[in-house]
Amino acid sequence: MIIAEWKPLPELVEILKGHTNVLVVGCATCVAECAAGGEREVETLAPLLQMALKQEGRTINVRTSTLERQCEWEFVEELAKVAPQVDAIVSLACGIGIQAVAERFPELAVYPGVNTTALAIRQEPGTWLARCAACGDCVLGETFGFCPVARCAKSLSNGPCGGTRKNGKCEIDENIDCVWYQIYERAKARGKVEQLLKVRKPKNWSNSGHGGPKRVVREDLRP
Amino acid sequence: MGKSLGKRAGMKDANRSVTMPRIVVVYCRNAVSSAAELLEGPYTVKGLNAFFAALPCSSKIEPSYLLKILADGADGVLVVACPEGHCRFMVGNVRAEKRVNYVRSLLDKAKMGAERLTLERGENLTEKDLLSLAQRRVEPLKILGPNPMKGDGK
Repeated sequence: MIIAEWKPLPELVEILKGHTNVLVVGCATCVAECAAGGEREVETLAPLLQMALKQEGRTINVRTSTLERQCEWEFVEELAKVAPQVDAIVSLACGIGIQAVAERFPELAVYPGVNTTALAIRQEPGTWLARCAACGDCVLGETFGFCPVARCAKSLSNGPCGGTRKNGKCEIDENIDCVWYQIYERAKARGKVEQLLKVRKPKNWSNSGHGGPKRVVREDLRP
Repeated sequence: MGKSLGKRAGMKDANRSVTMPRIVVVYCRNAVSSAAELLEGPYTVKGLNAFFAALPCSSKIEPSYLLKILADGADGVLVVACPEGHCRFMVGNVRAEKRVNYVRSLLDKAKMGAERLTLERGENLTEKDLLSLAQRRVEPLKILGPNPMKGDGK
């Protein structure tokens, strides 16, 4: 899932200072799963914003709505009825959803209520870990199912570096596993450590951010 | 339903009071000794202006509920949960405490004051105990001052 985290409250208070009718919009998909922008978080942030702005001497009307998916035009359209009644929208969706709302309602100020941070998995309730960097050149088949791009602090294709702790943790944080240690352990368990001796060539980054904004076209699916 | 210990009052009347904080008490019904001791709705007794709501478990509280109560103008919210290890649903009261702590941190960030929300634990509580727990919140909330949202509530 795409994960996100609330922006600091003072930042939201600052950007909303010039507005009086605000719509807080959530997304019931990824950001709901990571407890940042689903219905619960929308209904939590709305009264919090009202109170924080009141402390600054401002009274605002806050409406709320949570769409099934903010990254699909059909669902974004549901906001068309309420949009004319507000002067700003705070979106708790990922950056994709925020941009979709801004594109559909260009006459309105649309602000991000969250910072989108990673593609991650829920490790346990309340803990999410990055798993994918959307690099455009997947190597998971060579690395025994562990992504060194997203999970190695240095995104090393040929690890580990010299910073692996004796307990298999990363030098940058004792709570973070060294992914190359994990790759080695899984290779060993499968009796295929020799595969790790192969030197992996530099990745083809042109299929991701380095090749400009990504665009995928499937002629068979186009109208 | 509540009994006749206190004078029941509408919340609009309560809003007129500038010296008596309006307190909302949400409590686990399993923390109360018997159904006869349950308090529900607004109560005004000597030195107290409170609204009581029983929950099937304290874990039924959500951060959004607690914040909305305060955004609607209550001066303070008191959550009453069972003692740790005594939850009928195993860990409901532990979850309630975590949520209360989370909302307290949010209230601090909003400069509303974490002390507007507190959690107390108890079991076999009587109506008198509930009123007493609410009463204990009166002075700290008086010191904190009236909720600036008062009057903005829907």
